[in-house]
Amino acid sequence: MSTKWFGAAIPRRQDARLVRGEGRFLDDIVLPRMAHVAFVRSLHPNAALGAIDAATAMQVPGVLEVVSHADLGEAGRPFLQLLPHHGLASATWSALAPGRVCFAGEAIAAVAAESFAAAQLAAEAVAVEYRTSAPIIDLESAQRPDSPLVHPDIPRNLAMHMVEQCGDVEAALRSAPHRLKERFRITRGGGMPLEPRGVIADYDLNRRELTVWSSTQEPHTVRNTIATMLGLQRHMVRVIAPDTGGGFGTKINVYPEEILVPWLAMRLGRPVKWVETRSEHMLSATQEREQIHDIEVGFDESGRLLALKNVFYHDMGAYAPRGGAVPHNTSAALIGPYRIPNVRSEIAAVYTNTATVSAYRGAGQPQGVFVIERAMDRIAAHLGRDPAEVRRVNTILSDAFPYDTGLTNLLGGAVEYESGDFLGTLDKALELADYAGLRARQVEARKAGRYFGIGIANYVELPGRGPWAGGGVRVEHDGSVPVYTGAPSQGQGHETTMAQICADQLGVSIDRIKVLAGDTALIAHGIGTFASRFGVLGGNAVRLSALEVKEKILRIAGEMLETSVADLEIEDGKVSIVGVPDKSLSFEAVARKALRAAGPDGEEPGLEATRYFKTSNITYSNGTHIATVEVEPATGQVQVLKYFLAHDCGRVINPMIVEGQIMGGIACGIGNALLEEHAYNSEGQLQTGSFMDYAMPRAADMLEIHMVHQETPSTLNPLGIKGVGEAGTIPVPAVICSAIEDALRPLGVKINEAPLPPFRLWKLIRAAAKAA
Amino acid sequence: MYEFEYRRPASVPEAVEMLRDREGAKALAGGMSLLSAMKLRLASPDVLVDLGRIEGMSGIRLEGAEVRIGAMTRHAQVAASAEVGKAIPALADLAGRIGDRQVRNRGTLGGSLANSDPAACYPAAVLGLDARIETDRRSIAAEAFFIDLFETALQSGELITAVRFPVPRSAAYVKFHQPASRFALVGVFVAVTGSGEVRVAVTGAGPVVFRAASIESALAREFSAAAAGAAAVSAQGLNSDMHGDADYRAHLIPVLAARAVAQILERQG
Ligand SMILES: Cc1cc2nc3c(=O)[nH]c(=O)nc-3n(C[C@H](O)[C@H](O)[C@H](O)COP(=O)(O)OP(=O)(O)OC[C@H]3O[C@@H](n4cnc5c(N)ncnc54)[C@H](O)[C@@H]3O)c2cc1C
Repeated sequence: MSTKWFGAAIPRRQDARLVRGEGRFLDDIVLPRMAHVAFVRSLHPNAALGAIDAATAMQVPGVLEVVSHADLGEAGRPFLQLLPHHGLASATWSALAPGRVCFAGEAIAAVAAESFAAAQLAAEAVAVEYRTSAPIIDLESAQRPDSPLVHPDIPRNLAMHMVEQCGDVEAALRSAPHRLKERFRITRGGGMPLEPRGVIADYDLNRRELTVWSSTQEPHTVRNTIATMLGLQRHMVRVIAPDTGGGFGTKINVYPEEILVPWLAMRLGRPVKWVETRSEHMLSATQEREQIHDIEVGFDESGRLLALKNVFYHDMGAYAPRGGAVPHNTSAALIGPYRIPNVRSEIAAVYTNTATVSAYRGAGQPQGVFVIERAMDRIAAHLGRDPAEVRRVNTILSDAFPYDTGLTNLLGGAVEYESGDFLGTLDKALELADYAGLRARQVEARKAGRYFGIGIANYVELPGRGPWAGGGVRVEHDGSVPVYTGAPSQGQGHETTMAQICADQLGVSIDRIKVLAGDTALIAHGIGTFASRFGVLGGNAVRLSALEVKEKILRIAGEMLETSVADLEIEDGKVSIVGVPDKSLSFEAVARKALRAAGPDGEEPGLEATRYFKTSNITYSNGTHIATVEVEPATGQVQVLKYFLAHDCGRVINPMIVEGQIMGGIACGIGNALLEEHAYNSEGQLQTGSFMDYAMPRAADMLEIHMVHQETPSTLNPLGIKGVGEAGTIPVPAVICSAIEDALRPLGVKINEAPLPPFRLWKLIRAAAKAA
Repeated sequence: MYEFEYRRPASVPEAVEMLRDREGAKALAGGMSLLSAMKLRLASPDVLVDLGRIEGMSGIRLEGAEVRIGAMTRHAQVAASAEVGKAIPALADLAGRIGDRQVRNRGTLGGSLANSDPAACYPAAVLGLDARIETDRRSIAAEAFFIDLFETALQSGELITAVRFPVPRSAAYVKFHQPASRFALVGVFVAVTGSGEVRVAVTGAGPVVFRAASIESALAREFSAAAAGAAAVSAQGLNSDMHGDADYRAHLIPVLAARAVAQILERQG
């Protein structure tokens, strides 16, 4: 195989269309006789529901229907647990709140009307009787025996208690020359796609077919869930994800609205649309990151880690649509690129009366990286060593792969790093940043009374999550090549990367290839786009299909040219005999022949294959980020000055897309480090209901990013790809907080939490000054 | 948004008439605050009286020792105005850092003052420069205009028509952003008036813009950044929210005042 396309920096194919405003997003879809939906959402975080009175609402002109849980019948039962696993006390949501609400913002009733304005007006007129109880908001006290319960049948609000370990931590801690204990805290944020969620459903009574458009990262899962919940056969439900204006994890779960809207469409016998408002997104879309970690590390004189003990609380919010996937990721990411012979990681995941927690770009990994990287800095400070050197002595060496960390992943497999050059990225990043030069600058800055800091963070990402993904390839009789998958893109660039892989494998120009995605009618099975998985799995599935089609092309061409397949080669959509370039056949000719020649004894018609790539394990990407900051102690304001990184995501399909993914990831990470925070007060009311209070990074918060790629192929798939979608985000809170602590070292400020908006950092600075 | 009636008067008297006519009527200027409140269903006027087509309500004129700015003048116009840039550069600078480009092209001086958002920027300039607010019926001193959170001396249906800013000897505005909204968490406007009086107006920190007496007297004794920075400001009565408690805001006031003074001194060379 030539690699003409794989590895090339081809601009993303969807960009021109989207930048010109030619995208077709969910809200652009308008169907005849379409009704609109508005939800009545709970004002209280923990309440039993009494009467729901819709009499006044029904009087509003244009109102068609007001429904609550009692109307739903079977469709109102709790969703099935996705990813059920051992030790999980499961709690899943329902299409509408079933008699009680678990967070402020949970949908209690839905109004369908001729217009959205009428639906909204009527929703306000629905009177709901609440019998409120005290909510539990605080993560730490949720486990106490006297805490209010989020779900009456789940004692101590404990969703999951799990211990992961290797070696003997207690013994290793006892005998370690040095020990440190710390508490770290990461606060809750949430994915903020420009385009909020939305669903349209259209039921064809005549054909008994339901078509649903949803702004989702997982159309097949939405289809399967709708079929199950509404009692339909899967093949009668088609789910389409149109152009999607960002996902960031907030669109991976199947939400109550994705059942309710189709149910309403079937009930009303007309198409129904719901588009989430930004306020609804803030209140009811999934959020993530809140954790508290109590860690203890034991280490020797050189800073080498001998033992790591970590107990952490993870906030699940109200429900667990994916079980403990997020905290489990944290546990796995905790190890990073380091050799740690004795590890004990204990997770206590608890329900609280807040919006549901599920994956948000990085999904638990930023927290794990934050914890281990803060520990690295503390060890360095404790020993008076350079933080880069302490990381170096702990790094897994290149000859140790495959490297078994001794822990297990969520699929039950070993957390085994298949390949890598972890010192490679550390060295490359240090060199790129001119680390010694930065330290010299710091000396100068400190002399001048400025608070200049350098931060370092390593990470190992867990992308390429299995178990499988599919991708089909077809050569049409006009020579065009559709490639189809189940996983839609929310900016990842599948339209381009899948085409690049297919082009090389098949031997055809990328211009002939069109990637179709995000429609369950295209391919029978799909899992979706999340966890930096699709490049790895979808890419390898497309490779398998392309190879199968190529074999058939060669077989048919061999017959046509009366030569053996071994003497044939394919280039640029033409099959020719090696050494006889003028004797060639176009793909079009072969494709036509493949249809005509089909007969009782010959080949089956067509040039088409749909294969699925399976994997038994996750791939592991890694990298090193370095940032410099300057802090203004008088205000707590942080300015990120420079940013350097070296990363390794295996073989790079398209460096331009990889760079874009990383830069976008860093923007998100800067938000996580310095700005983004969802806050609830003790009454369970969200304080950050709009962008007036939820602080997002903006263009001015971004800076020039210097990066180098290192390519250590994965050994788990033939293309050697590892995945990169979340890599940009994962280490950023760690690296920025590392730099802030470094900047404020003369003041003795310790950074044990993220994010650090000015007010919070100023409080830490003031507390350190008072203590001094 | 709830349903409302939309009206577009051609003159100030006609607008005042329309506002008087109907109790639920509200003036619409740039709509940057009012329309958002309506979309969030926090405001529900029955009638919107759009001031956008009234001749003579916008524009900037230098009149002797004053700059007169029409109520409907957009923030972007103030920011780009050569007259303002020359006479009161601090005011142009303030206007140029309100919100984002879209907001500056829609939002107006009159709308900002009538709204009296505790975190708005213009009130600091109006109070700091001792400006006068002209309405369809009277002229109000800055000191008497701002009453409380979202509350001004305007009577129901009274329209701001223009603001007269006395040209100071020098002035500077320093704004510390609330990280999400980018309004002023605290904004401090320091002015040395034509008569040499030092005025320090603070926005964002309290329920309504106010003068920082302790900093003013410190600066009257010695006009230096150090003097401003060393003045103590009480946290009593200041705002507290997730972006800053009263202590933080009180602490920021002298810090920002010192920066404003440094800017003034630097400009004077
Ligand atoms: C994203 C965003 C960011 C912003 N950032 C800032 C910032 O950093 N600093 C800042 O200071 N402001 C900021 N603002 C507010 C902005 O300056 C608004 O323009 C201003 O608050 C209101 O002006 P307006 O012309 O849009 O008034 P409108 O929204 O039209 O009206 C506001 C109120 O004033 C009344 N009103 C309007 N004109 C008159 C008049 N002539 N006489 C009497 N009453 C009148 C209206 O009836 C209404 O009650 C921001 C706004 C947005 C949306």
